[in-house]
This record gives sequence, C-alpha cells and structure tokens, in this order.
Amino acid sequence: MNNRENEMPILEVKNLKKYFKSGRGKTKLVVKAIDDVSFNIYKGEVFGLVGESGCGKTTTGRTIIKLYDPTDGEIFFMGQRIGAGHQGLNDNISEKRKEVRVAVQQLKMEYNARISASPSAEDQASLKKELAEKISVLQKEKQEFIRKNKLQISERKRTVDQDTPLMRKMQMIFQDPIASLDPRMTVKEIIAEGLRIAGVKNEKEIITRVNKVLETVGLLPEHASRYPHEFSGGQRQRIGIARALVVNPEFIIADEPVSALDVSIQAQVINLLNDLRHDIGITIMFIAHDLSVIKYFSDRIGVMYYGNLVELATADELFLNPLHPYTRSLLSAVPLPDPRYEKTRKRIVYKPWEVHNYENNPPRLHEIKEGHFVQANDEEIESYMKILK
Amino acid sequence: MANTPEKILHVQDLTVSFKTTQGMVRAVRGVTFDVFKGKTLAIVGESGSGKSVSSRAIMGILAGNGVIDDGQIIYRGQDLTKVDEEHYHELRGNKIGMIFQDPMSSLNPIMRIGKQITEGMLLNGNRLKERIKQKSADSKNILSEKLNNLDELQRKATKVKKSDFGNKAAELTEIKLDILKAKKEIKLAKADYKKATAVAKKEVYMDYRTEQARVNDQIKALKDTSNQGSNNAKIAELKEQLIRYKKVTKQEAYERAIKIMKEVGIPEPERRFTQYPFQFSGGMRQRIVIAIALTASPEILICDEPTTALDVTIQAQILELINDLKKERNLSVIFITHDLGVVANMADSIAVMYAGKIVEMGTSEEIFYNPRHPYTWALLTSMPDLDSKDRLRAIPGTPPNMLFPPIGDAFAERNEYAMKIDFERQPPMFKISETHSAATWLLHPDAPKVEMPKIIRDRIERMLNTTSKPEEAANE
Ligand SMILES: Nc1ncnc2c1ncn2[C@@H]1O[C@H](COP(=O)(O)OP(=O)(O)OP(=O)(O)O)[C@@H](O)[C@H]1O
Ligand SMILES: Nc1ncnc2c1ncn2[C@@H]1O[C@H](COP(=O)(O)OP(=O)(O)OP(=O)(O)O)[C@@H](O)[C@H]1O
Ligand SMILES: [Mg+2]
Ligand SMILES: [Mg+2]
Repeated sequence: MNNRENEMPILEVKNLKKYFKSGRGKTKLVVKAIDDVSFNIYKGEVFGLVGESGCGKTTTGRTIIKLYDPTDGEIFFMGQRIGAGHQGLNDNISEKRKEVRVAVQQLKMEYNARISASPSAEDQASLKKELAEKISVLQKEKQEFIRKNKLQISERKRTVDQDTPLMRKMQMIFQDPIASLDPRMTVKEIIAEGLRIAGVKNEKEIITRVNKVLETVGLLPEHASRYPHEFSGGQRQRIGIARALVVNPEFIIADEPVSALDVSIQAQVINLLNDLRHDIGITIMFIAHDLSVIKYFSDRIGVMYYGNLVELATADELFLNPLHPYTRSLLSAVPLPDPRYEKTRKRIVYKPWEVHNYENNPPRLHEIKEGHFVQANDEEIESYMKILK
Repeated sequence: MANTPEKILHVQDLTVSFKTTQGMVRAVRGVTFDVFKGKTLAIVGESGSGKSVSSRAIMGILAGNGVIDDGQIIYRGQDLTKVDEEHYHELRGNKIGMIFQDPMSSLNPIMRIGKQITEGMLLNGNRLKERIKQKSADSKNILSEKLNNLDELQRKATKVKKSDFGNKAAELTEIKLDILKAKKEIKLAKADYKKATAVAKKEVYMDYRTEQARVNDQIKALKDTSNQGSNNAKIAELKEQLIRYKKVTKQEAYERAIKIMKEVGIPEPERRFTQYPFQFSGGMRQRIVIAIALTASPEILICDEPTTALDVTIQAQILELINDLKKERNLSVIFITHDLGVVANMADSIAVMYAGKIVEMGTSEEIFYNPRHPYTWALLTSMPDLDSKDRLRAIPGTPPNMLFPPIGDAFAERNEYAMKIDFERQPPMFKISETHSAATWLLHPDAPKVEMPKIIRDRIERMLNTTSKPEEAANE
C-alpha cells in the first residue's frame, strides 16, 4: 500500500480551495474551509480523513462530489477532470493589471521629470516617444498574460456535469442518517431514486436491484415497504448505505457514518463497509473524528487542521510516527477503554502560535519518508527527521 | 478503600414505565445504585437501555406519560419520588444539575448568553431566605427521616398484606402500632420544624438589621468628613455590600458569571457575555451549559452523553473540565455514555445497563479488567482496538421490545453463553466482591465454568502489561 506513485489514482485532488463568502463591505467574511489541499486516493483503499469539528472535512467531501463548486484547484476522478476552480487565475489577472498600472505610473513620473528637466523640444519629443513605447510593451505583455490565463479559465470551466454516468460512480453517505432520509418515502422509493435518476425505467429491474442491495447491507426484502422511522439507528444508516450502493459506485464518500451510533451498531456498520470493500473492491473516503475507528478501518489517513492537510501517511505509520504537533495532540486526546492507562494519559495541547515560527520560513507539505507527508518548514523537517522511527 | 466516602444519593428498586397507545413500555425495571460524594458513577449500555430515563427520574423531569411504579430515590434523607414539584424546582436549580447531550436544546437561542447564566442566580438569590433554611435544616432533616420511616412502614404493610405465609394478622398489628407511633413522631417533628423556622427567621432578620445599622453608621461617618469627592465611590461600595448581604445583585451575578465562564474556559468572557448561542461553536455551547449548571454550586451533576456530538479535542477539554470541577468542588457525577474509552477516563464505578436493568456493577477496574457478564463482554468486544484488525464482533440481534420484556434474562436471546434457565428465570445479582456484582446465571455455583472470550482476555492482558502506547511515543 505504501508506494503507489506509479498507479493512476481513482481520485486526484490538486491544490483544492473552497472559500465561503458572506456579507459585504465591513461585515464581509471569508471562511477558508479548504485552503490548498492536495491528495490522491487509490483504487480499493480506504482513505481516512480526520480533524476537529469545522476543519473542512465535510466541505472536502461535498466539493469532490460536486455539491459545491471549488474556489480554486482541480479534482480528477478516474482520469477525468470533474471539478476545477479558477480563483487563482482570476487573482493572477487582477494582480497583473495592478502591477502594470503601477509600473506605468512610475514610468510616467520618471519621464515627466526628465521631460520637464530637459531643455530642448527635440529631446522632449524623443523622451515622450520612448515612454509611449515602453508603456505599449508593458500593455502588450499584460494582454498576452491575461489571454493565457483566460484561456486556462475557460478550459477549467469545461468539467464533467453532475449527472453523467461518470459522476454516478461516486456516491456519498451522509453524516446524519435521520436527516438525510425523506420520512415520507418508503425504503424502496428512497433506494430506487438513484436508479431512476440513472435512467433505469424497468420496474422489475428496479425491484430486483433494490432487493439485492437490501440483502447486501443485511436487511430483508420485506423492509422495502417500510418507512425510515420504523428502523433503528444502525438500520437507518444501512438504508443510507444501500441508497449509495444501488447504482454500483466505484467510490464512496462516507461522512461520519458511525459517529451517531452506539458501539454495537457501529460495529455492524463498520463490518458491513469492510465486507463491501473486500468483496466488491469499493474505494472509500472515510470521514470521522473517532481515531480508534479511523485507525481500524483506514489504509491511509489524512489529518486536516483548519482547511489544511497537515499530515498524510499510512494508518500504522501515522500512529507510529506522528510528526505534526496537531496530529500528536489529536492522538493524545483519544480515550482508550483501559482505566489505568487513562489515569496517566497526558494530553498534548496544540498551540500553533507557540510551536511554529513561519514568519521567515513558511511551511510546505513535505514527503519526509516514503508515503509519509507532513506540513513543515525546513527547520521543522530537520527536527522531525531526528525523531522519526 | 479505608474510609468510604459519604453516600449522597441512593437509588433503590427504581421502576419506570411509559403509557403508550400500544401498552406500557417498561423502560426501567428495578435499578439500584449509590452515588458517593466526590465520585463519578458511569452508566453505560446500548441505545434504549434506560440510561436517560433513570437520570431523568432522579431529576424529576420524566415525560408526561412516564410513571415511577416503584422504588425510592433518597437524597439527603429525602425520598425524591415523594417530593412535590415546588420543592423539586429548588433541588433542580440548586443541588442537582444536569447537562444534556444536545447543548442547543438547553439554551434559549434568542437570549444573550450572559442573561442565561445569571438568570438562575438572580432567581434563587434571596440570601436571607437561604440562611433561614440553613439554620432550620437539622429539624427539617429529622422530619424527612420520620416521613421516610412512615413510608417504609406502609410499604411493608402492603407487602405483608399481599404475602400468603406467616402469621399475617400478628405482624400487621405490630406494623400498625409502629405506624401510629411514626405518625405521632411526625406531628412532633413538624411542630419542631415550624418553631425552628420561626426562630431562625427572627435571628436572621436581627442580624440583617445589625448589619444595616453598622453600614449606615459607616456611610454617615464618610459623609461627615470633608473629603466628599473620593468618598462617593466608597459609599456606593458600602451600599452594594449591604444589598449583597440581602440578595444577589446584578453586579455580583455578572462578576460570578464572568468568573465561571473563565473557569469553564471561555476566552474573552466579557465580550462573550453579550453574544447569542449561535455565535458559539458546539464545544463552547456545551461549556456554557456546564457553566449554567455550575452557577448553583450543585452537589450532584448528571451528564447525559455531554460529548457525543463533539470531536475528540473538544471532548477531551470538556472531560478534563468536569474532572477538574469534580476535584475542586468535591462534586458527585453521574456520567452517561456509550463510549467505553470515555468511561475508562471518567468513572470511579460503573453500572452496565441492559433492557432497563443493571446487569453488572463494579469499580472501573473491575468492569474493565474482570468483566463477568456476557453483555459486558459483548460491549467490550464490539469496540475497535487500536492494536488489532480482527473483525469486530457486533452483538447479534436487537435489544428486546420493552412493551413485552422477556421473562428470563433479557440478554438471553443474543447471548451465545445462554443456558436453559436464562430463558425461564431472571438471574439475581451475584456478588463477586464487596463492590462488584453481576446478574448472570453463569455465576451460580452450579453453572458450568465459562471463560470470557479470548479476544477480551488477550486485550486485558495486553492492557495490564504494556507500558508503551502510541501517545507515549508521541511524547518525546
Ligand atoms: N454552506 C456553508 N456556508 C458557509 N460556511 C460554511 C458552509 N459549510 C461549511 N462552512 C464553514 O466551513 C468550515 C468547515 O466546515 P465543515 O462542515 O467542512 O467542517 P467539518 O470538518 O465537516 O466539521 P464537523 O466535524 O463538525 O462535521 C466551517 O467553518 C463552517 O462553518
Ligand atoms: N416518553 C416516552 N414514551 C415511551 N417510551 C419512552 C419514552 N421515553 C423513553 N422511552 C423508552 O424507554 C426506553 C429507555 O429509553 P432511554 O432514553 O432511557 O434510553 P437510553 O439508554 O438513554 O438510550 P440512548 O443511548 O439512545 O440515549 C426506550 O425503550 C425508550 O423507547
Ligand atoms: Mg462534517
Ligand atoms: Mg439517552
């Protein structure tokens, strides 16, 4: 699982940004829910995403599945670009405009001074000509730059539509099983909805496929005619999974599918997802904040902190060698069912303003060991190298 | 344990049902436990096992269709199942606090946070009344004791009437005599209590008048001196002091609110004081709820899954906060959760509930390192383990329908160790140690010897042996 660089990823996220803007003028607020995040997910793996509430996990999932438009960056799914934003290109253009404006102004000032200082009319005319030429070079360069960027923008705008067969290969299981199931629809209707959107019209086929998927998730055909409120929490979560599975997806984004369930039901759902990946080979992006569950279930884990991916490694490596101070603080906060250990467990509190000094030396995501990435600056990389096991 | 801590709450045979259109839901079926001063009792169990209903019964806030069929909840000599609503109100505000799973549901979304924190303080802020109550507390305790005594005798009488052996008549006569005696004693105790209250009232008001005179003299002295300007502030302060002697002032409530907000870790409390709940994050809202519960300085804090909706970092903060408060204030905590890691962190003792009953009870170490009930085993094995990738062992089947609770052991249907008797008769609590007991026929002397599943045995062995855990590796 470690080295899959030569493989084509099933999902590729490149410099993804998602900003939420609200208000205007003085009350204007920009929430950088995802701020330049890159990662790959390979076929058949479970990719875990952890981080505290509000760090952007759900937003990442929803942007990948095109419920949100990216602000910037690109998303590729099975080799095709399905999402892209161009805020950066827009910014490039306005920055260039500003840059040229300033440069022109400076030139004008400089030449005007020289013109008024020069005695002969001839000199003045040649200076004026020189100035006009210089300005025109700058303008041309600017136009060329803008043209190139605009080309890229229109290119980025050409992404896959939401309702194409390709996008149906990607499904999402939502965080809240109760809120995400329409209470007035029977289980069969809920599950069949996706099939109908996909254009399956044959009622017989729909029934066969619904029954089959119910069996896959451990429910009975007679459950199909019931309503969501007649099921337990674990069963409801299975209905959500059945709805995602019925269209035969390759890739599932599971957003905290077990967080609201008690341990025994949680075990049922995790076992079910585990079977699906082993039997059908489904790839799963698993969002959670319970680290015991994430460690148990994931092959690789990405740790997010306020819109940034701060560490990424295989599950075992991350627990063996947690390097980023936020990852360490996260691991140190997990309570284990072992009272003696709990009595001595020391929690590490992450205070970014104390541990990082990024003023002169900004951080980047660095591969510190094969397959193990951590966000750090040169100084930190050096110190992490020393404690690496 | 050399000196056992003071028992402050005793729940005996608590039985709660709900009337529904389909019949009576037997939610809690005879639950007995103790809460000790400065200790945490954790209640764990699957969804629907009766954890919340038990704690709501203690708080006196059962849903309208709920009834307490039987049992006692003894707090400071008083049986809370007998207390009227007016009295309960006082207890809830002052002595027993509760934190619910969803912080939003216990906050008013359109009221400023500050007001929500100070409201209770101002409402219960009459200090003279409090002092009178304190002074007459002893005679009140005697009265409640006598009332409980009578209650017990009456219960005994009904039991004897229902039973069909022994010399019923003779026994009944004796009980009746006792009841008469108890009633007489109650009459006396009532009179005593009334007298004590009257005396206390007189004393308290006299003290207040003395204080008033003292402060007024001081003010007068200050007014007489020539240095008018700088004395005004001092005079205002003295006046505030006098009001504070009588009741909690707005200023005082504000100061205490800010202090408690700091205590629960809200940054910039002065600014936060005027904000609304939606301007707080989930973890901060839960802290506010805790802050409100704490303003009354409760003796018992009931926490019903206070961190289930929160992520690990914030969960850790809230748990640390509750543990710190427990230490500082010698608080007793009832902590409800289904997260066994959290239980290991918080609990001094643990009650494992299944289908409305406590099936195993013990100290934290006894439950985690020597579990004896198959249901406890099942709970422990269904949890993922940081060190293994073995398939999780989900508990097969579903909990029983509490409209028709099973005759025998309610867990029998799902229990791979179930014996014939489990389907026929309910097991009693078998004692394993002074503090540890479990309700399973496996502990009967005649039962075949059954070991706990290997997977838990291995895990326990590993827990007791290992010293190095990933987090320690994280500590340089
Ligand atoms: N539709 C939206 N409009 C504005 N802001 C949003 C929106 N959705 C999310 N946000 C903000 O983006 C940030 C990331 O939110 P997100 O829901 O992705 O977090 P999360 O990591 O999934 O948290 P949780 O663990 O609580 O589910 C938060 O600050 C949130 O308030
Ligand atoms: N108002 C009510 N009317 C009818 N039944 C009720 C009512 N309140 C609770 N119950 C039932 O009582 C039983 C115990 O419920 P309780 O809320 O105590 O469970 P719990 O152990 O707290 O579960 P969870 O972990 O899901 O919170 C359940 O079967 C529940 O359906
Ligand atoms: Mg989320
Ligand atoms: Mg509950």
